[in-house]
Amino acid sequence: MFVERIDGETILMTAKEKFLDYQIAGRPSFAFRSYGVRVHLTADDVDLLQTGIRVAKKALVGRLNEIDCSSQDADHRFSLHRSADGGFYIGDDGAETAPMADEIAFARLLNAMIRANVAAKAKRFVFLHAGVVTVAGRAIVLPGDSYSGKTRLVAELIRRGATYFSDEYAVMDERGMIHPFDRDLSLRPDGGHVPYDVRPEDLGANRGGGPTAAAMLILTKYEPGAAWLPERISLGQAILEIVPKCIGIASNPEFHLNVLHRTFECSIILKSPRGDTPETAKRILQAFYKLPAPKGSGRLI
Amino acid sequence: MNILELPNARKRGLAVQELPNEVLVYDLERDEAHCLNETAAAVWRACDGKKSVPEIASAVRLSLGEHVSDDVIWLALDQLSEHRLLEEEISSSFSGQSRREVLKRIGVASMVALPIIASLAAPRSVLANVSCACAVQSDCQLQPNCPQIQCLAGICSN
Repeated sequence: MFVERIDGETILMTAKEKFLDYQIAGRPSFAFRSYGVRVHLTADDVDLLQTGIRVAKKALVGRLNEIDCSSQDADHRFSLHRSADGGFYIGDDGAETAPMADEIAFARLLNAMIRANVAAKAKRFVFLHAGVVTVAGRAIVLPGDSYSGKTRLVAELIRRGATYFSDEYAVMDERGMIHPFDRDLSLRPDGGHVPYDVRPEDLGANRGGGPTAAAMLILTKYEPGAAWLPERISLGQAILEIVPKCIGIASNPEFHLNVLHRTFECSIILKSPRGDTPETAKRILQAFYKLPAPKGSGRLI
Repeated sequence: MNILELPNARKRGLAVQELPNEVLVYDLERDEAHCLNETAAAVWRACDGKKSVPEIASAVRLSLGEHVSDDVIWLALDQLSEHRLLEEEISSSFSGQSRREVLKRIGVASMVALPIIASLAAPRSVLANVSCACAVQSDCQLQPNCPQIQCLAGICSN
């Protein structure tokens, strides 16, 4: 019996099954479905495939199911290779990356590529590059580019009692409900570029939960010395600003615009640059607690 | 464009989302999104290829419930044309005057909000929003907040 441990899960496979797997596929392979997207992974060897599976599970926060799917039937294909000089490179639906000497860099890039391509090809979900926390079962959405201070603001909000949903994507369904994408927070050290993972539990927060409606949409970006002076902007202006942060919007803009409309049509939308992160988090939560309670909730928020 | 021409709103290659008092338009050919405020949206809707500018002004007046001058219509048409939201390009009727000057002149007199179209380009690369991860150098250039210097070991670094 082959025993494979992948992210804490034990997969048992008989030697015959393993052998047949090779015979049929020619190369070790693994197919999965995530957010409706079928992805096919192949690798030069089993060890590399295991790395690929581990990375895929981490990239998609475990939200994938193994499926029986050929390369031809998949929506996206990755092939993982070892280069002649001992490095690695990735085949991405026919294109190839440059070789990387470092396995950590290889895993980091594969993680980003899997995440981005699933986000871009998901047909029933919209992936907005944003941090998300929830308070009393309602979401605060913080769209932002990389290096805009999004994760730091999310970290500060959860230190102050918010529940962690995501520091990467607001995943919205066709009803306009937001789903958690609760990977560990990816923080960068001051002045550094290589992120490190922080568990939200280590910041005293809970994570995840069911699909949640958006109560606030906050458009902000860190600017040294800036003060948090929010102004209300229209839904159209807000959607226009977040269009460039929607992954794969070009493939189905009608669906994306419709989902963005549904998600934020009842939200308070605020825009301001910000300086001090703790002060901004405090002010955002103060504004949140002044919101009227959602209809039918029977409580004040 | 002269007064006898009949502006026609472009329909092909666009995804349109109606919002309260605004319209979002996504140009599938150029991967650009536009937000038309209420006045610009009313003018765009009235451009059916059959109405002249004074007739469009009447239709917009009915739709917004306020007097709308021909200058306001021209200002909207000028922007709609610039953003390729009309079937045929029109030339500005404000020759010799900048848009700023025109806005100043008609802004004071106008009873309705001046037409405004805001636009942004959408990214074509799926790696454009992935926390500075990169496969090739150009991925870093698509992520304006990343250090952008070079794609090193899968991350945009300097």
